[in-house]
Amino acid sequence: MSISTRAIASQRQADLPAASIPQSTRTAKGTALSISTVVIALLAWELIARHMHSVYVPSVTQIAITFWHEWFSPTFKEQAIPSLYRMFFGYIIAAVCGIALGVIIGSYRFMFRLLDPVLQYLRATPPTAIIPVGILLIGIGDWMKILVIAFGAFWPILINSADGARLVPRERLDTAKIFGLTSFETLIRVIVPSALPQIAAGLRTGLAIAFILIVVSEMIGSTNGLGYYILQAQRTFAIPEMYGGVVLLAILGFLLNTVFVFGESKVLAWHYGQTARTR
Amino acid sequence: MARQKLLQVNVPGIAFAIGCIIVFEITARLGWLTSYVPPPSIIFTALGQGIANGEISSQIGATLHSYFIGLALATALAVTLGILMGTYQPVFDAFKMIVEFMRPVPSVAMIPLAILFLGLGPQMRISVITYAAFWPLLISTLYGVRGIDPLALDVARNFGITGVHALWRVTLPSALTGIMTGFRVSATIALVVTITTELVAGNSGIGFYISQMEQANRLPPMYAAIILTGILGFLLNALFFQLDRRIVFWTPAAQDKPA
Amino acid sequence: MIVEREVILEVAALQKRYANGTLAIQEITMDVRKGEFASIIGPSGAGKTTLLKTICSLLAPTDGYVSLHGKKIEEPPPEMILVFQDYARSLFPWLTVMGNVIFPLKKRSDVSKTEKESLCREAIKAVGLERFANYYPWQLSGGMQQRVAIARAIAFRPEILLLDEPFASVDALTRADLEDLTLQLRSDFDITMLLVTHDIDEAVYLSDRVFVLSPPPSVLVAEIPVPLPQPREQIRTRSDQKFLELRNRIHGMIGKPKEQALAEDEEHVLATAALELNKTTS
Repeated sequence: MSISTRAIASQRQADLPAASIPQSTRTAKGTALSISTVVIALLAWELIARHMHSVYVPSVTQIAITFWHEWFSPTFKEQAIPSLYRMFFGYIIAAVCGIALGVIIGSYRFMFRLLDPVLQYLRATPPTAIIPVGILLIGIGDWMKILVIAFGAFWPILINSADGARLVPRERLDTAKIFGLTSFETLIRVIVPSALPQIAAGLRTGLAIAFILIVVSEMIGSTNGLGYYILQAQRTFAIPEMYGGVVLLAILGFLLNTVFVFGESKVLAWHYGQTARTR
Repeated sequence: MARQKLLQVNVPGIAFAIGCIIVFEITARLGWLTSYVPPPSIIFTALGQGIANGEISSQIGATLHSYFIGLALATALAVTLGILMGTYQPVFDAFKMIVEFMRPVPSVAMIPLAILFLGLGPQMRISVITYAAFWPLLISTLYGVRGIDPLALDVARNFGITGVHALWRVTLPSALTGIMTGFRVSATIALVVTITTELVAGNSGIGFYISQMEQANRLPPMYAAIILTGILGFLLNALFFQLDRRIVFWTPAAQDKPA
Repeated sequence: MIVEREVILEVAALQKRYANGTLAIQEITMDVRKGEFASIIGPSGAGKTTLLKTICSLLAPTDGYVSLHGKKIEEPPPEMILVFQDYARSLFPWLTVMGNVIFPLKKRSDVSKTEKESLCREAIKAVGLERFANYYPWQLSGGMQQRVAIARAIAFRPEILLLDEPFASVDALTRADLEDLTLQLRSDFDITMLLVTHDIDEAVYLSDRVFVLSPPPSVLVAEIPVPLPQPREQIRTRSDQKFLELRNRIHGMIGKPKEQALAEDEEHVLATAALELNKTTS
């Protein structure tokens, strides 16, 4: 597959706005409809659960009570905090390495060609498959998870940063040359800002991957953390706790996404303004 | 013209890749790497053996089986709902909030839930895969539908094509670029989730094989299977890339033209 | 009275062959004098952009050289700044107008911050965009964006401004404004201008000298002085009899190989004949 068409395809992806759902004209009627479907769904669940009397399907109220009980207690500190800091640590490592290496690789055409097949193969490898290797080499401590997360989140960040660096319009690079900027100055002041939308797309994907990997790595090789908690709850038939854990993950995922989108909209305000105009 | 470009082989890149493998081989044999990492030659031999005697190849079938069924289900559901949500405002409003809240939940968190209801078999895996692949495709379809040039629909209406008919003949093809992009993302995620579910709680498939080999301390086959997942991922990526080009043949990217 | 200005830029037997073997520029020898407005005109695809890029050393010549004030150029010199045709792609969308204009000055440590800012404000004012200093490029029209690109070049205070078909992507009315702006900048800031265009009227209107380029592999067909009165004015100058003569003469040369163009050029034929006559009679 040609390198340039892949770059265009990834640019297509970068142009997808970060907000999860396109905002339609918000009407009162619309919002009411949205809320009512959620309420109806919850009510339906509640009724079915009470009717079924199954251990597997606790009622909404039961889940809510367990949630309240569990997560506003030391459990949060013991289970949720470790997950979060492992994830962030791994993500930061992936982001720093991915952006730095990606932008450099993207700026030097030959390097890109050289590394392309290896990169294509490594990024196609499901990062979860690496976990057993991680356990073998590092054991089941914090670092195994951090490194697995770093490995997984690294690839989309690297590839997107490289694509972003490669797609900088020739005229901007020429402008930098005309005004006598050094290679390093050009990299920092022209290439990186130009590639920022692509880099952001990579960071977004990387975050999603990091989130998945923390849960998985804790399910497979851990003695604490959210992943471990949920799986353990299922194994010990603490079903409301299991659901509660899933709900917590949903909330955390939602918060992470919101913060990311907010940050992105601030940093990339110029990009949205520009693309909105040309659409 | 496009055919010529396809045959352009990246010689330096492939040479570099082979070089890496050779360096890997040498360092492993010299004992510079931990004993937990065997040299590539041993890994590839194990891979060849595993395929030949059916140990690994039987698992490939199980993995691909769950993978394609899960992906197909997700596609059918996501594209349908996406088109409906994108076209009819009430449908959009109705499901909007549910989607917003369920979407950020990592699919892997659903594994324990799925185990609870469906045990450890392929059905459990398929349900998790479907869940995982569903969301990105739904969002992409939504954007694809919303990004449609209203002119296309007006032209159709002029010729008397409305309703479901219009959805099938006008909306769907126009949204196809967005859908294809989303599909390729979903396809990648689906593979990761397939391997993951097999790894965490499977009874068949490559992921399951990996964890089995790890527990049995048979390292070469374990690495062989891991390498295999990469190869699978690579091939599937290439397959869907070609599919993208052929289905959405009218876009500049498919024709190797600059955007 | 025409004062012989000093030559500051020399292009000597320049040749440029692309990496794929095509010969874009066969041999061009020309010069540019201080303070003058020179235009290079040729049909599309004549390698005009390539010529300009090679002159300011963005591209390396395959033969020949370019010298500025007698010194050979190997790297883009700060005295020569190029303004691109595609302004949208050369401006930085993450910076405001002011940010874009001050961008090249940021690395100059010999100029104080306040001085840099005043240089920029002056340039922005000169192109008429005072009110828009805090806007982003994509909020402006095409003509305004091109002005930003010009302001960015001017703030750097180059000696020579190279302009690559700068007004090709704007509408006719804006083009007239930008042409006059360029003339104004040339006299206000005393900048030598070298403009490349495919628009003959524009070339004659703006220039003191017009260089006609042949189709590729390009050579210089003719160097035509434009003795029209200054200051130029859109309506008066363009309806001048001499203007029409010049533009028709150049029009006759465009698109033809050198020998043919010169053979068909009456004035040239007459002049050569006169020269021959002088030789035989003296």
